[in-house]
Amino acid sequence: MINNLLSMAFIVGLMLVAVPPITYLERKVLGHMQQRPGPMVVGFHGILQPLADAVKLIFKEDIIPRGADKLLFMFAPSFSVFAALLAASVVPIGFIQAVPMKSALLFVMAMSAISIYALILAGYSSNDKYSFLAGMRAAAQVLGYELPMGFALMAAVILYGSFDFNEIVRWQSQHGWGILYQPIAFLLFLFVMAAEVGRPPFDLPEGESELVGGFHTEYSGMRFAAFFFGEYINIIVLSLVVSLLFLGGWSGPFADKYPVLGVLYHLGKAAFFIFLTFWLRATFPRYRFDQMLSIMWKILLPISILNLFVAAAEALLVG
Amino acid sequence: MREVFFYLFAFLSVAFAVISVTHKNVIKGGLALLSSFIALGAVYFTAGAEFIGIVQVIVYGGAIVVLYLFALMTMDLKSFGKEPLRALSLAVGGAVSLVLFVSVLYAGYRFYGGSLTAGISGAKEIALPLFYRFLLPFEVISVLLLVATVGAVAVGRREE
Repeated sequence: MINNLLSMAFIVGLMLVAVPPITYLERKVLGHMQQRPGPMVVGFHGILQPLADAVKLIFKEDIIPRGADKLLFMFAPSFSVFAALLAASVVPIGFIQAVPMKSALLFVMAMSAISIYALILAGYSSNDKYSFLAGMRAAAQVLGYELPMGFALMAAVILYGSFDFNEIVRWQSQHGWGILYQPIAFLLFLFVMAAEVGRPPFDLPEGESELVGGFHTEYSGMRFAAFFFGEYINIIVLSLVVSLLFLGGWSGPFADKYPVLGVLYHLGKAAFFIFLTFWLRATFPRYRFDQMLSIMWKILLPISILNLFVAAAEALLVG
Repeated sequence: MREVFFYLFAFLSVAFAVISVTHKNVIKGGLALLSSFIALGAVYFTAGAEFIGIVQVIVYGGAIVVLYLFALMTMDLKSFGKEPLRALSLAVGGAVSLVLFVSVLYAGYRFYGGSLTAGISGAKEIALPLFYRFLLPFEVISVLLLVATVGAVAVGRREE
């Protein structure tokens, strides 16, 4: 019980503390990829930039637009953080496990499905055309990506025979990483993950070139920051989940003897996927709305369903 | 402890369901529906049926209510809620729901009375009866859903 509470505190703390450095790293990585230095002014190579951002966000005036649905407007950003942290609570990092659950993978999916309401509600309650359109886009996007995501995960689950992350890692330490067996599911999941967290090339609900700021056009100060936190925590959680599902999680050389090493392996693998989202953002333009829908429904969904048969065959062969 | 949470979430689920049908604002009604579904998922959790609880949240919370809200947001919401309630529809609806309520209550009490624990925590316990013992009803239901889908496409299709 005490262990669980400590793990819970560690995971929640990690999620909240990790976000500001990640925003700094993102801007730095984006900058260098686009041949500019990124933040340089505050501190050595701009290293104190997150602090400056935090001070700015905290002291910014908190505006609630006239005609907005006050209750929902105030509720939406907190919902985003809340759902992301709930998803984080069931994801084990090495031996650190807050809430052991038999269907943990499904729970993460459920919470990520729920987190979309933050966007829809923000869009609806802002009483603003751009936000409203962004909310509708978010709703259409979640309907699009949820099926391919589910089927990609189901392929992995059929292979491993469990929803439990511990079982999944154990299977992989015996048979080898999941990416060797299920490269298609891995790629599908990476693709859909970008849509799930609303990152380029699937950041349609944000769409700053068409929709001003999308669903958070009307938000300022800490409410705006809450959306940011929700988004980045989602990225961290899904990166942890991908590395659990396909890259063996905390398994690795000497991880059995020194559990701390396993934690580091896991975080390192997750860090690669976090970097990947920066990379995608620097490289790809945004898809149009109709392109996004046709990619999801006409390409990814059939591939993911066909991939289930591959997974079933592999499960029969490998056992 | 488990009983406390069971009754808490059961109460919340019913309360939100009542709000969802009575609220004037349709979007907020949809949200209350979502809350009711999530509370119902929590009820499954407290009864030990973890898998069904999560699937409840994914299917109803993640897909169905999103679809409702999406459809509602495309409509002109200002014209909603202007029509007065008629006594006849109120009486008929009330009578039907009373009969349903009593029969569900009776069936629940008759067959599962007193026990708060369900013997189905994982996917396997659901899949086995569904795909072996009740395979035929399951397939019949899926054909029914297919009919509904084909019907929706046929109705929604534009004539060339």
